[in-house]
Amino acid sequence: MNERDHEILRIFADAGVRGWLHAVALGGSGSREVGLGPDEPVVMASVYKLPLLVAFCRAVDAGTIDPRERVTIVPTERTVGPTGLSILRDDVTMSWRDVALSMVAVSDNAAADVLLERVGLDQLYQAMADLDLTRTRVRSGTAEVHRTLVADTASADTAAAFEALASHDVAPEVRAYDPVYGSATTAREMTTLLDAIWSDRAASAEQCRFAREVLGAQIWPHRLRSGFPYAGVRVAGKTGTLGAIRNEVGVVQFDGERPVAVAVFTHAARADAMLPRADAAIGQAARVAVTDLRSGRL
Amino acid sequence: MDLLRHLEFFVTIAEEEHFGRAAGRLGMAQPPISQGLQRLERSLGVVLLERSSRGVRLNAAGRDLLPRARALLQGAEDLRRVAGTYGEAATSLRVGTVPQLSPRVMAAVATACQDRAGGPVEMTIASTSELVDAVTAGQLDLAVVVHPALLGALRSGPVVRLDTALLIPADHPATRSGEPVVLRSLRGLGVAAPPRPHGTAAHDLFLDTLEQRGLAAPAIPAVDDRAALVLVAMGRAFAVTADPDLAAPGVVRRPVAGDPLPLRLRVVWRGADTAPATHDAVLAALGGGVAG
Repeated sequence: MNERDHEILRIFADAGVRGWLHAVALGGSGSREVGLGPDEPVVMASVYKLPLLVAFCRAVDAGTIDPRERVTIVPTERTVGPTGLSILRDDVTMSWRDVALSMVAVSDNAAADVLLERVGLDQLYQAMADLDLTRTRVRSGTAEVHRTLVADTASADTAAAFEALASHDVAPEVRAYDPVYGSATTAREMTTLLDAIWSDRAASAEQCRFAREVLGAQIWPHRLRSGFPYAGVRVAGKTGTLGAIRNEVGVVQFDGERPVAVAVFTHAARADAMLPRADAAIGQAARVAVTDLRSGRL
Repeated sequence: MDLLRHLEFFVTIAEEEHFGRAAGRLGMAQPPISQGLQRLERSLGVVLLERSSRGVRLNAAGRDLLPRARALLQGAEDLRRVAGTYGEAATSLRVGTVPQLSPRVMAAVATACQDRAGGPVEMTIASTSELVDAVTAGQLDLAVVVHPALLGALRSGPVVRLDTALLIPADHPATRSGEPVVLRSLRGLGVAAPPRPHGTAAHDLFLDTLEQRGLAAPAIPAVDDRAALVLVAMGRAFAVTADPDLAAPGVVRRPVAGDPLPLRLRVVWRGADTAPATHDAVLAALGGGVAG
């Protein structure tokens, strides 16, 4: 372990999180990489929406989903969440590709579960298998994760479950925190998937461009983006949040340089629903890794 | 995978025919036990139990393997017992605690461990981060640490809450009425707290909690209650202590108004190094409340 890796571990420890990271420069041969526990299984949380996006793109390529077909989503059938369709009051009619956009841009839980049902878990498994991502297992959508949380915390509903999860006085052991049980991946498999999207191998060139645009439209500035606040850099990514779990995987692109894929997964000691230090640590750790990989550029 | 630990899950579940009751007997939550069993089944490549809505029952493979699992566990116990006879050091139970425990609670923990272990107990006092490292490295058998903390792969018991009181410089206006003290009224004082590297998450949570309640007090490092008491006696800081006996001239003790500021503790250990009964004994010796 070199000084750079120790620096990343210090960032994680100082923020009170356990962290896993993998970063690799894209588009070249013999790429150098940065890895801290890059092959250990980690909990995905909403990062599962990235594999789902890819499975959607492949279904469009295969002609099984028409991206412009309109779907009506009614409030009573929507998964709980803080953004997007989850918080709207009335029926919404939109195209499948806009459902996918909302799912990624604002991590829309309701959109994701509707899309997962349309795409199908089987197709999602198949997409990951085709891309040789054997350690990425999406077991369920968000609604199902919420059901296990309610059961494991012996709560009446999802809101109460998240309250129990954020308590400092009980430390419930929930299946959702265990990569053995829930949807899981590794940091390296997520950078591999991003590489496939950025090199037009994850789906057709047209659909990969769509995926890159959608990921670039993500609004959250508090994690990866906070490590790269400068002009002249674009950050496309997907976050994942569930109680003490905070993740983001994405691609950092400095103008005129090779893009760098980076995946950061964290699990905080503190149960608080808001932990700005942990969010910022994702950006700081990514910056240390990406900066090192930039040094060998072009 | 810790085979012996997982076999212990299997045997207990088989005996209780119920995940919940097995969890109760093992003093653990249910999810890690059912996950552990799944791991065992995956590792052995055979399903051992039939799950139904009423509980669990051994299937044919489980019935065949149960005696063998019991024999392995018995063998491991024999091995430990015989190994233990080779010298005092091997039998002594090495226990760590954070300095936030009062001397009387520390003594209660030590004697409880001694009763359980039936042999000598070595007590170590160190910070949460040092204790977690020591237990992880196998230098300690178990430790009482401040919650929340990064525990890595360690196992842990429930969160225990100990009552605390404020120690305030006697000449501070907030002490005049003799009533519980509103934290906000301590503005202008520092707060004595263990150095941040001793336990980053708990340190940050403590200061965030004070801020949430309207008190942005600068933290003045105090490695233990004695150092904190000195800071309070000098009029530089207030302190929060779980020691009901801690006192000095010039220092006044007051309850905190509103929500309490409990000292949250957890017992941590590694794998199957110590018996669950010892963890329970330590929990009882801490004497605090366990929520939910």
